[in-house]
Amino acid sequence: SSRVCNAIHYEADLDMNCLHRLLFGYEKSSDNDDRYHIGGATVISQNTFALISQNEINSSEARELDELFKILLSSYVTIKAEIEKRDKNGQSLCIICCSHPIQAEFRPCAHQACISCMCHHLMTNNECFFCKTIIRHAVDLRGNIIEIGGYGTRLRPLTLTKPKPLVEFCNKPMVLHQIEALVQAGVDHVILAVSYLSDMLQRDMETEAKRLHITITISQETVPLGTAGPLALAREHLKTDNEPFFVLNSDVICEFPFGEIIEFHKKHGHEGTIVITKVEEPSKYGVVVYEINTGKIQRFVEKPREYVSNKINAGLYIFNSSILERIQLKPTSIEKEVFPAMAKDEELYAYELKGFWMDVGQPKDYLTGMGLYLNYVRHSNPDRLSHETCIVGNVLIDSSARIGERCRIGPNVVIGPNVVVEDGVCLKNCTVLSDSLVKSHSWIANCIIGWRCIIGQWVRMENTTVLGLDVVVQDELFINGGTILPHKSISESVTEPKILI
Amino acid sequence: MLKAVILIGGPQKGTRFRPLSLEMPKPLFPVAGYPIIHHLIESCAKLSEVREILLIGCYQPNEALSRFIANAQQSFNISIRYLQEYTSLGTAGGIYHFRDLIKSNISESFFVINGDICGDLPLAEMLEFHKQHAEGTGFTILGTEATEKQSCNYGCIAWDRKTNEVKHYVEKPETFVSTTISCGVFLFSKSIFQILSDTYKQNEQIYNEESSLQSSLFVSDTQYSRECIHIEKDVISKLAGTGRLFVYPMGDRFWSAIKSAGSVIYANRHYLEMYRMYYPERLTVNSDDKKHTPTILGDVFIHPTACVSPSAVLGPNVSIGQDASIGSGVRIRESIILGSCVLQDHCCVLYSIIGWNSTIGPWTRIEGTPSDPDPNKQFSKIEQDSLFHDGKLQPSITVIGNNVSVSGEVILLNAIVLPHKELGSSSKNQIIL
Repeated sequence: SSRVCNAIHYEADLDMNCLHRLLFGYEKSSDNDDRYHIGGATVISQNTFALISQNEINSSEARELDELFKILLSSYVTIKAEIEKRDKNGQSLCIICCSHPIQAEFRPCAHQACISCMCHHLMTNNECFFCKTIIRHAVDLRGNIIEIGGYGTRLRPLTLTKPKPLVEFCNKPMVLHQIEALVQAGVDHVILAVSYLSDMLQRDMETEAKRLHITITISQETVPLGTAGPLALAREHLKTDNEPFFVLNSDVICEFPFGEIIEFHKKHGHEGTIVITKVEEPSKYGVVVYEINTGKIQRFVEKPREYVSNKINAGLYIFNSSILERIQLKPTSIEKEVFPAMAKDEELYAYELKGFWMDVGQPKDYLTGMGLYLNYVRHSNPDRLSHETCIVGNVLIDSSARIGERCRIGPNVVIGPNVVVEDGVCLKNCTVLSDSLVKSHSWIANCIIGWRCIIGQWVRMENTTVLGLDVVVQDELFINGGTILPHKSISESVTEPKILI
Repeated sequence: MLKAVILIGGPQKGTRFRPLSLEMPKPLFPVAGYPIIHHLIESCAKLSEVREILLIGCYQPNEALSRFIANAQQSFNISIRYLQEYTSLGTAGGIYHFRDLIKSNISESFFVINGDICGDLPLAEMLEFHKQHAEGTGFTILGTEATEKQSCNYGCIAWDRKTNEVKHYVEKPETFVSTTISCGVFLFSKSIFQILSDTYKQNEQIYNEESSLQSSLFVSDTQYSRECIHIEKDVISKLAGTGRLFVYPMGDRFWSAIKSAGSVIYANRHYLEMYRMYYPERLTVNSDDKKHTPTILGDVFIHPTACVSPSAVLGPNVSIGQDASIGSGVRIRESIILGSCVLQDHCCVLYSIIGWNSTIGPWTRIEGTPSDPDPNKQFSKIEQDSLFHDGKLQPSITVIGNNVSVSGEVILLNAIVLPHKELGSSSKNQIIL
């Protein structure tokens, strides 16, 4: 069959000449050597191996071998011709799956594959398929960085078993922090733009929509559309009335002053408003240069080498629906293509965010953001925090959790529902997700413990260790910066940061 | 009467044992609750014929040694004396120097034991063997088995399996000679003194010849000291092949040299195991009273004056020294806690030695890496590895010197901490001065 032939021919090490020699004892294309003629028949020397002339092969099998080779050869010729034709047109097939065209390259090694294979690979690997170089990122064929994975690869291993929007941050699913704040500002329709649709997400969003009396639509992209494309995909929902709409990066946590942002936007009356925030190291991000008085944005500078400004794009926007004229249904970057054009047209304004801000899409930032959020809770709603005797600093404990005696919990700790913490445990700067058990006398700092985990007695975990779903850590171990994938049982210490699959 | 001479060396010896030997002579280091030489004296005292033990070494008289000797004399009810060499005389030089003291009153033979070994020594059987084979003018050496590769680190004995006669002896050969190695335990008949005397005279001659060739500014090196005699080099290897030296193999009974902290933990384990057979009253037994006594796993020695919280979990293979204080929720495994230490709540000590008078803060983790013999090879011994490998500190037993204060919530992994230090932060694979 042609599929089998395709599969065989895409084997990098297959050489048709070698195969011919193996089967028949001589290379098809060479005139030399082991052949000689006796009375018209082609015979090979006794010392040369040929499958077809072995005693065990009977004549009908020999005929089959002949047939087989003929089929392989003809499909080889065909495939070769196709490849050459495609290469002439500049379009090759991904050699991993042989079904999609090559769409992207890894950096820094420049090996190519299709996006679907890359996504799949990146779920559990960070090395190139071909050369094992660590992958920094992937670019499309024009050199633009593309967002692949959309599975929330930065928050692995937590996002391997739960869609990122549903991973809890301070005892509430991440997306719900934003949705609830939007609802408070009067939003009644939320569209979630996802690249991977899960049943869990659909069901949970249906429940939340009912609870909050709003509509939640899930818009799924079947091919990656970048950061602006998804807006074009959701066009019909966004153009329903002439009201402006918010666009939020789902990893962002802050006070969400949506009411004030709407006011500011309506007041200047232009096409778009970007929320900006002050950071300490602006060069890690892209900075925004704007007029202080009016808020009008002049330009963006990506990762500046010299100090330009300390305000960066906070990942929260509000647009008039006219912006949709600027966006087509194809992979588009809102920061690189849409915003600069809007700034040039003087239609883009900046709203300066007050209070804390954090992108919690990575474990380390997740923990920092947790501290900032807890601090905000202490000032706005201190009764939510725990005040028992073993508590130090800001600590949030779900009412169904149980804490043992002589523990020390805090500062900056979040404990989820049904968690059991036994006697003599010390927790600092960490999150324990639901249904987990931490046994007695353990010491845990700067970690994220996933759902349904069991941490043994006298365990020491530190240095941004992240445990996925259902991980068991045996007694008396030391985990220093381990990233542990779900359903794993750890029986040996991890003394240097490592990913355990 | 039978005498035993135990060679305890001096401060220049046992340097691999630092920092534990910085403020206490190595032979007095407690393993399984009792000093190394205590175990050796105990083995000797089991023979009723042994009535006197002579300790020969280079240590200046010090309080710890004197106190030990006084206590040991009382416990064992035999005479114990310390004979101090005026300078390092090598492993046999002291025997020659104090020959009159050793010779007086002994019947036929006397034991000579290296002070830094430990094991389940079959001294009675060795004596029996010696009486049958080597009585009169012969000598017996105790041997044990090692792996081919490791035998090159010890004194190798090539012997006749039928007669037990030693054919050849080489100390630390470069190529393989024999898997049988010397344990550092010897039984010498009185004729050893003649041999020592001859050796002494020979050495004197060589020394005189050499020094006459040097200028008068030549400063004598202790190695070439006139009176320096080495048992292995000058005595045993010469006796091999003469028909007078025999080996008594000790089979697979436990034996080890104590050179480093790793071998101390190993010896601790085996001595605790031996207690099960010989001195079961020394081991702490798990009681049903969980409210008042700690949980004990495996073999554990707790000094009667130590104070252990009932929620602590100890063992296997743990020794707790005098007046130590173990807080609640503490976990100790495969470790030695020396006298007057304080281990505060919830801390975890694994494969470590905590020196006298040290304090470990709450929730702190002290962890080392064991250097046990290869379990896949029979007769494998502890590797005598160097401290560093490829420029990095080899993972080993963590040693906390005496009077060290470690604050809470930190981790010390594969670290060596010198005495009188206050530690406030974590450390891995480091020597902390």
